[in-house]
Amino acid sequence: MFDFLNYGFNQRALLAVVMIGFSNGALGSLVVLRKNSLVISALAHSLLPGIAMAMLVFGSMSPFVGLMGAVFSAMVVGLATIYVSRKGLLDHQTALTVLYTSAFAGGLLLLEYIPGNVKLEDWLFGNILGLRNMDLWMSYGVSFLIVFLLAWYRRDWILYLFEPAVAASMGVPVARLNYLQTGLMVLALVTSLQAVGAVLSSALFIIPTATMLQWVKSPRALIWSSGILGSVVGLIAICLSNWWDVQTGATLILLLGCCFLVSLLLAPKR
Amino acid sequence: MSLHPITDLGHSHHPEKHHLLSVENLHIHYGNICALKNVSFEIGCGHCVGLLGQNGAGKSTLVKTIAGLNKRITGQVTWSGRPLSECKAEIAYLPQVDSMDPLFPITVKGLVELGRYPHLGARKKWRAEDSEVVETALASLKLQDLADRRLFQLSGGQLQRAQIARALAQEAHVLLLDEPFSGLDEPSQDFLSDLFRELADNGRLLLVCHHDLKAVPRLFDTVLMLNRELVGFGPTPEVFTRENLAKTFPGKEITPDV
Repeated sequence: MFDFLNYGFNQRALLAVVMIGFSNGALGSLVVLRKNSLVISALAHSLLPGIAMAMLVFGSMSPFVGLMGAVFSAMVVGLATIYVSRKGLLDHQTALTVLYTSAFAGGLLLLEYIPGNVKLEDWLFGNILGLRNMDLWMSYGVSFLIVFLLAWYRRDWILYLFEPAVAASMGVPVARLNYLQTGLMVLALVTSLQAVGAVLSSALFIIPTATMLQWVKSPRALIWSSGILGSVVGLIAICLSNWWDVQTGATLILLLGCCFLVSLLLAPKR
Repeated sequence: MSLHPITDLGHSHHPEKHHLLSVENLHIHYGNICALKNVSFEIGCGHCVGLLGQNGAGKSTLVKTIAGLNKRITGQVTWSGRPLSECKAEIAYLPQVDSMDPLFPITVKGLVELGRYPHLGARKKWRAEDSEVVETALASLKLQDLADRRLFQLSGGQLQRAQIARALAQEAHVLLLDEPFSGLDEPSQDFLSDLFRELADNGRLLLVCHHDLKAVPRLFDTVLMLNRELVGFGPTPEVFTRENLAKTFPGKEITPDV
């Protein structure tokens, strides 16, 4: 039944999904409570041109090259959004949508110039069986960093998310947490892009939290239970996709979607 | 209701300025717009102060500045002779209850526990005494039965009580409240005004942004009237006059209801 785990690529996929599921799920609580759900998907798409450009310049895709490119384009799109929404008489979300769709289109064209077989589908839905050991190490590092910083600032996050003004008046380092959250979002996206792709990694951020919001009564419970849900569903998705011979990423998100639906129907009503 | 008087007097470097909120020559500009011009006043504990003025007169700006949220100011704001950045625990900011997200996953008790943040030390470790302070704060506002409720299950008055309990858990000496009476029904308003009186009598200082002029003399022993600059400041019977009202609300026909 678990014979598929004899293969190295399946072992790596399993480890990666459990780690990414946990760290993205937990970090997703911050994203959802900050009402940043749209931003995460915009950010995921706008990383494409940066990574594509880095691959063109350095000639190959490695976690480090990917990270450099991603950080570069996240910074460009982030700063440009602020500039455009100030200069162009538009709200932040409209500016972000203009920029990320344009950036994504640019990235798409760049992909055509990259030698080798980088496919758009891999970008959107990931290639979890193509993970190398180096990608795994990167996932370890990023997941550890996310969990550590979530735990280290555990009380600060809650105040920062709930009432930023009250938090600042009590001495919570609100500006630092804001940068930290954005930085962690970019790091988490870069590691999960390889495994599950741009579309699915946004889902990994949002759906576990949306599901657990139906049950929990405290932000701390939300953060850790979302992480656990992401991990456990990831584990089940790996098994199911092997037994039924279907795509892992899509199975994972569909399962999460089912969890959300069941929670919506079963959870205590308002 | 039993509110505990403030017993911890702290150690101030300036004994003569003990428990004194002092604002000196405060100017605030946003770009070219002048939000506050040359505001100075001093007040000690044990007062309930009404901040009166029309929209855009600078009430919220003043309250946010005392809460330490405006970094770029000219002038000086001190509490007990110390700069605001050193008194994070002693000043509590209570924004309008509408600004709270009712769906945020937190209970009344969880909200009150947030008030302990400035007391937890560098490691942010929760101790048994923190739980005691929270229980006392919940009890003094008669919130024990609501402790496990979520925010969307509360009325406006109950939300306001929960916020005040948070400030009590913070053991704050100064409470800054932004329009606490707006949207409350009459019984809740009466409850709140009695509560304010009791908090002031127990040695706290309340600064309350307020736009409804009807109940001013009953609610506040001191008023601060603001129209970008200070129009009047002092005991309500002396300062809340027709003349000052005309300067604070130019173009409006208002008679003080004394």
